[in-house]
Amino acid sequence: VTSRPTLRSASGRAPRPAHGLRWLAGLACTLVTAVPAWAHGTLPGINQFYNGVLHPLLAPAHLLSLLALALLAGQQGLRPRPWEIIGLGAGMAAGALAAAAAGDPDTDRWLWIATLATGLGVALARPLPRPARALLGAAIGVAVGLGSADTALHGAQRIATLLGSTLGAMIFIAYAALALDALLRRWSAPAPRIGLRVVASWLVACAMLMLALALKKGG
Amino acid sequence: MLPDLLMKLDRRGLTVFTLLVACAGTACAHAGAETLAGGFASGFLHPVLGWDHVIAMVAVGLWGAFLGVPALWLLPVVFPTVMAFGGALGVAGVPLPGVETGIALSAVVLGAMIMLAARPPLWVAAFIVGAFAIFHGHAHGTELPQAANALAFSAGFVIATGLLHLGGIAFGLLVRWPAGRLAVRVAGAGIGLAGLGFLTGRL
Repeated sequence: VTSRPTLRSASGRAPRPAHGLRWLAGLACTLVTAVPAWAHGTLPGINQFYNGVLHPLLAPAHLLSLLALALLAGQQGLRPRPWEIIGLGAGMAAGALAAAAAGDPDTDRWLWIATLATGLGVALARPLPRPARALLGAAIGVAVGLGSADTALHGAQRIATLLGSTLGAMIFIAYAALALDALLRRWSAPAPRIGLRVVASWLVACAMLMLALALKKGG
Repeated sequence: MLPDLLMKLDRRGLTVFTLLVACAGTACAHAGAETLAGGFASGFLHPVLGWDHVIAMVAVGLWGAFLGVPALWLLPVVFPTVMAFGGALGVAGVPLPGVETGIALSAVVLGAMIMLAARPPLWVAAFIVGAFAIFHGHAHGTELPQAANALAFSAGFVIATGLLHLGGIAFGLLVRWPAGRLAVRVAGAGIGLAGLGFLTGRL
């Protein structure tokens, strides 16, 4: 009768684990503690469409420009027409369609400039003509649309990303502008309007600094 | 230390250890450290930890409250906007002579304005505040390229600046009452004296 090899030695002490097992444990430790790589800021586990939806909220230049535009739309009023949002939608569509042909450029500098201009518009709090409001929206839309895809994306993935970005940006600005418009209509005291201008001046400050940094890095 | 521990473990212990390691989440003691420690927190603390910055920014809010509407909110809008221009000069490496002197002088001048209850025209007040904001911005801007996250750093110091203005405004609203008016003017004198201390190197 052959007995199973025991793990214990004659002295009753456990033998030292084999070198191979230690290497295996070390390798397992290394593998399980590794952080997943996040190329191009995408979130693992969600597909390209949802990555696109989140892109305007996760890319700082996109987010701040959209926020500045939402402040402007809320301050100028959404009635009779939300010209900024209409301009943004048209601009995003144009930018998304032209992105591949333009080689998916990095539009962050343009977005910082647009944030600067839009934020100044809010801080000055002067009524703007409709074409100027629509043009600001369109300019930001084109820049966001052009900068939302990646050269590595093709076919259905590319379309899904750009559709998602357009939808995400439109949802964000619609919610933010509607909330501001409602707040300013319901609250007649000057405090919210002053708060809006103060926040806009902060956006202008951030955009100016980021633009300076981008220009410095770009040479 | 870890190899020694592994050597002491038997096969069962090694299995348990491997399983525990596999189940453990990554340590988050400094979650987002690259963003916060080198970004937002650094930017936020930069004006807050420098007393010369603090007193000048509180003085802007105090003076605004003293001058009343629209200076109450206009000065805190002008300051960060022009400060960012100074910051951009700092980022670009454009030298600005006498930055520290300008910062100290801002406390002296703004403190004196509050103490004397000066009421210049709005554009003059905005010009004075804006001129000094360039020095404050330049000091912040030179540190921006070293920040781990430039946007978070910018947002941090802009928000901290705004909150310091707000503190000044809150205190400045005491001017509605005679005793409060006196307290604000005394605070202005204190700010001016502190500025003199920074200017002469005593503080």
